[in-house]
Amino acid sequence: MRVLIAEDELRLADAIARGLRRQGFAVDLAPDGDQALVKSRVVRYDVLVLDRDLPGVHGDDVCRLVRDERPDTGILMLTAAGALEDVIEGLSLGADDYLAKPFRFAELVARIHALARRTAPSRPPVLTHGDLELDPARRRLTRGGKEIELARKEFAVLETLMAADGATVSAEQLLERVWDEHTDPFTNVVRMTIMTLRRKLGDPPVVQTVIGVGYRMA
Amino acid sequence: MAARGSSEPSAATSGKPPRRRRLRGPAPTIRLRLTALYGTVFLLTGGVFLTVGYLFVRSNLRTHHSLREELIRLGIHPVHGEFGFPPHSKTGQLIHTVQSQILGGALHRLLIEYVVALLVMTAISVLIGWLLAGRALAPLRKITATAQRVSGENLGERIALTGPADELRELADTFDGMLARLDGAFASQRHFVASASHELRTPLAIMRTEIDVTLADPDVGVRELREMGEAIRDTVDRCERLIASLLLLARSQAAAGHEEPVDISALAADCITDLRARAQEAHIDVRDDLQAAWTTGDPGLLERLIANLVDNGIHHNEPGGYLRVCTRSDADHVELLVANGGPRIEPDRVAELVEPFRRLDRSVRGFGLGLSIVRSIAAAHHGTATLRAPDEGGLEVRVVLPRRDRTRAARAESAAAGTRAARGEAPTLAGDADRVGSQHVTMKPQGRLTES
Repeated sequence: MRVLIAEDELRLADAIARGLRRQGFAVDLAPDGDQALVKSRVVRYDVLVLDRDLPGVHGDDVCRLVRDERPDTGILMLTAAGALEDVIEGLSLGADDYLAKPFRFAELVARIHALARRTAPSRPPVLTHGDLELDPARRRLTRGGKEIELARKEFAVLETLMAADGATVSAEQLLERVWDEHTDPFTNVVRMTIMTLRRKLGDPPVVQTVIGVGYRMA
Repeated sequence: MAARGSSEPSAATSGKPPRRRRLRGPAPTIRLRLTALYGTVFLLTGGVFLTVGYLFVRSNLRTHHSLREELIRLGIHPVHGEFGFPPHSKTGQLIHTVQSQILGGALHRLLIEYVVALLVMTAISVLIGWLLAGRALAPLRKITATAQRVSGENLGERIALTGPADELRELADTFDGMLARLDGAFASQRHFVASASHELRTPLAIMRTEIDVTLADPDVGVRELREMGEAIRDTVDRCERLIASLLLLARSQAAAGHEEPVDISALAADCITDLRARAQEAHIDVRDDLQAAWTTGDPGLLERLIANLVDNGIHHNEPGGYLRVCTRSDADHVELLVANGGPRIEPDRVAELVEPFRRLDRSVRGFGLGLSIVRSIAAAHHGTATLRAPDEGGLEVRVVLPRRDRTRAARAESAAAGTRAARGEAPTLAGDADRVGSQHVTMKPQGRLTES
């Protein structure tokens, strides 16, 4: 899942990004409103964590523009103003959720998960495919009731494939959804991850290669 | 009257039903009194007029209009008596009696008709007076209704009375002006509270997130824990600096408690000496022209004022830029001028600099309280601080304080200065004429209401 954090307090942005990456999110940072807009135009983010008081283009305008241009990106507004009027104003600007600083990190993670689920078309909280069961919020995967340990990227790749519900997902799409802006687009990292994922999932194989197109759940 | 009357319906419809009774409460008494006055004046003048008329009619009928005189005018010359009848004859007496009866009857009817007409006209004039008084007082009701609607959260309302520039219009305009100043004061207070809470909550959010994220990792190593500790220590330092600045701002607003004679030039020299190393590091050319300038005040606060300005001048400068610090005094005032080079500031943004928590470039460190503290300290010492953004870039701050022996007089004058400031007039120093092509903002004491 790809998340953009637009926050001018670099220390805070860095701490959030660190925490989210550990949870398996692909995280990009934007220190001001202009960069947030540019990045959200290039990449389709699942969730935008937006500080309202941004330098450059103000957070309110970023919220409005992203809402127009990327209707499927969930916007979580993060601000120091937590009065009821501020919450109402933020939500009326097009934000999907609102969190006042200081917040608990676990709450932020839970809200990002909820937002991603809400914005993706009718996605159940637990994904299933045959005897596979994947719970993104708890980061648990079981096959036939037996728990399987996956690395972060492997888990995210499997989550993306299962969320596609049998449709083929290209390597470029996987790269965009699972890896962040610092990844070299000409790398074979997707192929390597799919290989280890297949090995860990065991038999019968569930991840199928559609030659020349991408991957899908079989 | 027509123009004023046009505002009546809006005043009548905008009042809410439960308030309407209260709103109308005081209005009818003055309206009643005006109506009674109209009625009485009309009754008296009408009564006098009709009485005089009646008396004239009566005397004219009695003296000039006897039948005998009419007959003489027509060329008929009665020998004596009425119609040639001797006055004491029966016919003569009859004619005389009939004539006086006709006269008496006519006068009596006239009297009754006059009294009835007077009563009817008085009733009509009372009615008209009632309506006119209502129309004349309509603007007053509008002013009352607005004043009742206005509250701390709702200061945006204005009376905006239209019509001729009369006393009521002046009252409404004065009231509007007062509302505008109150609105500005409330808005700046709200901004201050919002900014302060933002500045205080952000470091809390950083610390909380650092701790949450680090401790959520079950295999956290000593290195990560150490990094977290350092991040938190930096953030606590930031909180401490912010709280110190806020306390200083509050202390300076509470006016100078402890006062003694202070030489501004000596304080400026100390500040420059302290900061010269930093200026050299930043390749800034520091020039000073310090003449003795004695004022009275709190040396700690005045030192802070100068240090803030000099620090600002170095911090917001550019390599190779200049910093100029001058002090001088004239008959009534002492003046401190701190000018620095740096990037050009848009003239319309200079005004923002004096507001707490306003920063032109938010990537630069600091909370945006420095110039607010300067303004506040200057105001507490009965002085002013004026900002100017020269076209060639940088900022020029001129602080004017009363001269030492004038301080006492200035304190007495400060009430008058408050009135001036409220009217939007900026107190200026004589000889300060180079104000063309750049914007000036006079920083006024926070406690006073200023229109912006």
